[in-house]
Amino acid sequence: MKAINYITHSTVLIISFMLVLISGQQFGGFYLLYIMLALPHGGLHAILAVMGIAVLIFSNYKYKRQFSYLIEPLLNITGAALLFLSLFLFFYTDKGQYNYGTFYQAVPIISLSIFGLLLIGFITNNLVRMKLHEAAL
Amino acid sequence: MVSCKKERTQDHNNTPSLQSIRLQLKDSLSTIDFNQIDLEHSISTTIPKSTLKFLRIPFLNKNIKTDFILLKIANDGSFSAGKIFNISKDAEPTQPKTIARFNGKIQILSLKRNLLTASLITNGYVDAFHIKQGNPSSKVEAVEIPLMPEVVVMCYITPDGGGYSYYDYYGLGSFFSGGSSGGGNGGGGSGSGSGMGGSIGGSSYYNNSNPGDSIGGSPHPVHKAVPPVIDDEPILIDYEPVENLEAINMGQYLKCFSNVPDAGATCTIKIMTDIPVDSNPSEFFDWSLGSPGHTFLQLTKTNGSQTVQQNIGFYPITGWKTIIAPTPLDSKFVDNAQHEFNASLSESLTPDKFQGALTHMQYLSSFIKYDIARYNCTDFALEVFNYKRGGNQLTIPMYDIPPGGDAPNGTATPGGLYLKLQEMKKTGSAEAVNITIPGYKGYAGISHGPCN
Repeated sequence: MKAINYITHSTVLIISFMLVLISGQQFGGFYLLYIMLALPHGGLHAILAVMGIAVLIFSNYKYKRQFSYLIEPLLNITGAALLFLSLFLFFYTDKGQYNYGTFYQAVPIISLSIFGLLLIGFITNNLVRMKLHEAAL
Repeated sequence: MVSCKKERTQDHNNTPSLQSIRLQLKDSLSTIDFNQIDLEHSISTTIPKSTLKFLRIPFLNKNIKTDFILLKIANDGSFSAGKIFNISKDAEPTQPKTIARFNGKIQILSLKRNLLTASLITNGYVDAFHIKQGNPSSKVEAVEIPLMPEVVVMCYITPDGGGYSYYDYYGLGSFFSGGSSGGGNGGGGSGSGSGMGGSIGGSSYYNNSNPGDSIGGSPHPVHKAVPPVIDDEPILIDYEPVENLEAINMGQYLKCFSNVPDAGATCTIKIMTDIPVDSNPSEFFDWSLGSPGHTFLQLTKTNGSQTVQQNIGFYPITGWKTIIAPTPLDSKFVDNAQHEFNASLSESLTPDKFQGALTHMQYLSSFIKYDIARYNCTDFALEVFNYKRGGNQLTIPMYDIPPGGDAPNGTATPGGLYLKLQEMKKTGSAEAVNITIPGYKGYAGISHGPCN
């Protein structure tokens, strides 16, 4: 149980999200760097990432993983969806496939997979919490 | 590979006057053809961002998709040129369709029905307009643009979402100019839509072969301007190349040049820069993609009908290490055939000097490592380009690149090279004539590939 609590924690999800490795043709690094580079220029993927992180942090700070209110898992799922959308848009708008090396090189694939698995676990956990909450009512 | 967007036509002031065109056609067409034209169902097309206007006139009882007269309309509403077209499409393979391509035949005739061109259409390309693949000299002469096809097949999801509809689109401008070469349909060089096809960069405008086909599904809405002439807006299809970044064997690529005899050969080395943001050369970094752009070399050796051309660029093997790993990274060389570029500088070399540059490239390839800040694609290209230039070294302004920019003297960037070439061109430098700056962007020609 303890392990599940850790791997479904929003902080772990946020960290794995920021540490996704991007492999461009000549340039690469953690996704956090791409967010920071694009944010001052109003990059949509960066804005979505910041919004997602903010929602998750707010939910964690405000409700402290008590899951006493339905709004908490809803906020968590929204935050996670924003993180996913940020990454999706980053690659989707990359028409020249400049950063598609991410999908062909082992280490970036592993980092992306870790985020993907944590994201699925996080969303599943919150959906279960929502169901439990509904059942309790 | 490609994407399209619809642009609204700019103005319709030079709407063709059917009456004056009818009079002109009476003089230009044979009596039989004149009696068969269906002028009232003509389709007018204005190429956006240009003054080009076309009028397609069907024949009575014939589908405009296969038989039509194409007129180029002048500003005064009369036509300045015209041709008769007969286009037929081969029977299509059975369902399900995975890739839709146009194969068939085309006949282009003068208005008096003199045969101008009769050709097969292969994968949308009119064979007669394009270079025969077996002719190596012609291959190299391919202009630095993608060769856009004359005919494309567009796929739309049906309104009920249950299937797909396919429509053939014609590049009307290319039918007049005779294909991509020479700033026609592909038009990458001009960037201003000045070609016959009204092209912008590696893009072309296409019209539905029969706008009536789309009515009902409405994938490409048609609205009537001045009835009864249909005003059909063209769609812009962009060329977006996806590169093969597999490492090449430098030795095998350079070996091809030894197949061309030195005596009487002309050799050129061209440095080409692809800036990160095409619309803003002063941006040294594409903040949304994390791309600093790219610089690469185009090497060409020609002797009579024999020509070998290679486009070669320098890359790290693993891009994700550029910021994380502190040391220079293992590198690779890549075939940059048809890579996008925004400016280039070429230099003619004697075969001896050319061979010297090749030897230096081969030497460098055996040990150099990639460092985004201190030795990147621009550094490599400059080193080879300058190798035989003696005192006339090409030096570029260096800039600090924010991510990983720890080089004490700044970093050589594609953007810096672009600004240098732009300045040389503007100030009328002695080498200005050797500098090519496409209006927006162009594409490098093809590469010969490896030789064993």
